[in-house]
Amino acid sequence: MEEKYFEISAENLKKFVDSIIADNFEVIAPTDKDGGTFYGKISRFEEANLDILLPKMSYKEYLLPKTETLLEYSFSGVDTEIKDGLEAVAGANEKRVIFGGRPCDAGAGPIMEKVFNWDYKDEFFNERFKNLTIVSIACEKPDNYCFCTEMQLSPESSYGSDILLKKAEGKYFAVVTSEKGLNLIEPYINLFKETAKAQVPADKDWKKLFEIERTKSFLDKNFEHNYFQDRFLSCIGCGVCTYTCPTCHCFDIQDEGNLKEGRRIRNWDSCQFGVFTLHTSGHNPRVTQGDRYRQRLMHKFKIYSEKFDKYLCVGCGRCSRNCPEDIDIKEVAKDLADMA
Amino acid sequence: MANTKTDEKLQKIAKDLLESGEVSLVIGYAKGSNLQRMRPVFITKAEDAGKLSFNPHAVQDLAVFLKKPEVKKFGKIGIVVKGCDEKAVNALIQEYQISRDNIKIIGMECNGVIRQSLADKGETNLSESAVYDKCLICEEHIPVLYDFLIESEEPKLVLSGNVKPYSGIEKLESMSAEEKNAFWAKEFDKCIKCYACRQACPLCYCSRCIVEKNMPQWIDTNSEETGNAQWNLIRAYHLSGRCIGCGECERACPVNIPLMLINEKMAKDVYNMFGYKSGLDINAKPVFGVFSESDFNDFIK
Amino acid sequence: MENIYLPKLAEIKEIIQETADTKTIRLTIDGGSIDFLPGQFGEFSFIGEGESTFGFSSSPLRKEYFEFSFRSSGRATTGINSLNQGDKIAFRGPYGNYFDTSKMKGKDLVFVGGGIGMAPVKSIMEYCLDERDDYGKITILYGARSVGDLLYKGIFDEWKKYKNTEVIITVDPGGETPDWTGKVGFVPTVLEQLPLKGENSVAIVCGPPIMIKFALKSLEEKMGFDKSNIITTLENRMKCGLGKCGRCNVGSVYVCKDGPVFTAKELESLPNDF
Repeated sequence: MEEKYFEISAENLKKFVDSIIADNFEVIAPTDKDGGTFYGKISRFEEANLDILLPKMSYKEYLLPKTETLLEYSFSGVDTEIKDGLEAVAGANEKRVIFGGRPCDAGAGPIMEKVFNWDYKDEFFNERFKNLTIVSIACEKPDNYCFCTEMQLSPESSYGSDILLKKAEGKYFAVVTSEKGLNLIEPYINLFKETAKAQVPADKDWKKLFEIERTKSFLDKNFEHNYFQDRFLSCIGCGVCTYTCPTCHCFDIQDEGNLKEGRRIRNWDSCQFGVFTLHTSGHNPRVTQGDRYRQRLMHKFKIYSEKFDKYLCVGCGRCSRNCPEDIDIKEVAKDLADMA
Repeated sequence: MANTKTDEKLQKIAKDLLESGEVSLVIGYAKGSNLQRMRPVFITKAEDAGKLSFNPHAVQDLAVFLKKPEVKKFGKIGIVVKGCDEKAVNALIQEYQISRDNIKIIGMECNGVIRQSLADKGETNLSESAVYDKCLICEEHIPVLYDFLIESEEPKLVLSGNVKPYSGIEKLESMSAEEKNAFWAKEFDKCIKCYACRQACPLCYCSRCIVEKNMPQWIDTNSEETGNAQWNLIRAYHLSGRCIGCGECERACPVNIPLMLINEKMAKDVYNMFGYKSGLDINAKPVFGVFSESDFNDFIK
Repeated sequence: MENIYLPKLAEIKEIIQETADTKTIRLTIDGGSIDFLPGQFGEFSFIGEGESTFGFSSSPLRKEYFEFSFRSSGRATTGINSLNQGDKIAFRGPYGNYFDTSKMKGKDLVFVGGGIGMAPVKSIMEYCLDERDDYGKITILYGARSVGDLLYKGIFDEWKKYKNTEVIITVDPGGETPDWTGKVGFVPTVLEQLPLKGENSVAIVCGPPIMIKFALKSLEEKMGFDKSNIITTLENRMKCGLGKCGRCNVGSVYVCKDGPVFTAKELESLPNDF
């Protein structure tokens, strides 16, 4: 769809959000709870915290839940009944809007969509992704952990957003990029005023600290390098970086239940865990935490881009901010670029 | 950032230890990704000792690295510890995970560390409301065991008593079982099973955690009601009588589960029942590793 | 919408107790085999106990059943191990690439298998034996730690019946029994003693990593096999088998989709992450 542009006052934006909530949309927005700011359901506009740069967790769980039922089973005498887990996912997110996320988070969806569709189609992901409407807000002040510009996005990128809001002079400009976005505002169109692209403030000239292609070029040539073993001595092997990441999508498949009934589920999993690649024989290709963090870097900055033409990173910096041991991925990616 | 006197003392000790060959590695703190963050640093060469630093942002418990196979390989290790962290070193010695002979303890007198969530917003002042609850009840500002001690340049923390540490415990104790259950169900619902609590804990050192064992499947793999509750409760039970209260599990938790309420409650109960506090004496036997006739045993009916 | 994680139910037609801890299970779906190619694999489960990844061990030309061999070791395999003839196994597949027979036609073939690694070798080998006239001389070398650890003991003689086909069975030193008439020696050692030439030949090698390493070295350096004519499989840990779950990455390869079959030449370009 060709992009459409609208103006909306701060007051009307509030009315818009309150109206869609009143019309039974589930609005997920950054909101203050649990001693921090997390994405969560809001019941009115004021509950959204639009000042926070990024909530601690991404909204990945709305695309890839931390636990998802793939199928349910039951045994009745000799027969095994299998119930398709997709039935419960059909129509998921149809009335769900992510409001007030940032361009980095929005960029994660179309990037992950690639691995879930490169051959076999993962309809669990697709069904959730297709139906979710994403209304993002452009960033005015990225912090030192942000590097979306280096990751081929920008604080004002509309990639992956159905609507991108840009704040200017006390009001907002809405860049509508999809039919889904247009459908969302249609019933409330009197709150918006259509405008020309020229009226929307131009994107700033965001500077890059390093070239990600150089990071990749280092990784291309250096699988074995002391940097990985030395630098990640401080990695404790938790899953915080991978689980708070909007693009990390590795999962485990497990059965739960008893001899009568149960289910097959998939759970988030992490390449940072020692057992992730442990063979039954006891052999483990990735012995040290250096090997495991290297895999995370490789997957993000080399493997995924070679396979799917996109880096598996949106530069949100969550893994750095949340790392208990202060491993800063931007600093690491720059180190690698500098060594290339 | 210029070196403080503390930094200089610290660097000198590390340099001497490495130069003399008494240790082959010093684990300490260095300046982190912003001015209000410190990070672990691993010094193997005397000339790198200048990276070492210490201030009230040194939140990590570096004893966690003593369980790591890649670190154990270094053999003799020097480690920079606050009083709370040092108790973890003691507990590891008590549980035969490390040998006292292989560890040089560089003890830091500490008047408290600033909550990282506040530090990230710019907080730099050591105050009653800025430090972790563990700092408010700290009885080991000077570590109980050390080879070197560096005294603090920071002023002592003034306690007005207005901030009540771990106040949640009393609230929980006054609740009915149903209320407690509801409280924890809501907290555990947030858990994403990233195991940061386990990995950040210096005393969670099992080479294969119970959560990774599936014959039988002790803990449901789901990250929903059953799996989350089983994981969080078993983690807590495995640390009762062992947790030294460094609070790293809670700090590392990306979804802010108040894990220290469980840990401290356990520690409190263990003290009340057995008169034992973990990590204070390397010659003491772990409380659940021995039986004494005077032990609390009313539960045997 | 199709759920790619949904298994089919296959019926256990026959269970062969191969060794103390390994079994071969023959399955049918709708009374027969399924369409697959040698080298491909599937996800098998006793539903409720979790899935395991196994390569097929039968020839796809034998249409009455499809089979896999497994060692009972973890929760999922213990579950499968508890099943009886007539019971159902949940199955997804076939997945992955396969041994490309178009590059083997008209050539001499060497099949080398170690331990339970013989299973995928058996599939391609029997496939070639089923179309015996398409190939030159066939040499089969199979070894295990001990006589008791040899799989497929009942069908060695069947393999030997084919024309121009040599079958050599070996056990590791110390693994022989008093009545053992086969060879004694590690697979790579026995391999080196065979009068093989790399010229116009293809070798297929599957087994434990250490065996593969030495066997590849012998084939390349001592016998002059071209790296692109030595074919093996990677046995990475997998979960989905569909190129989604991220577990089997080696370099830019998803073993479950781009593999599990690789030539020695292809392996050379992969990082040492397997």
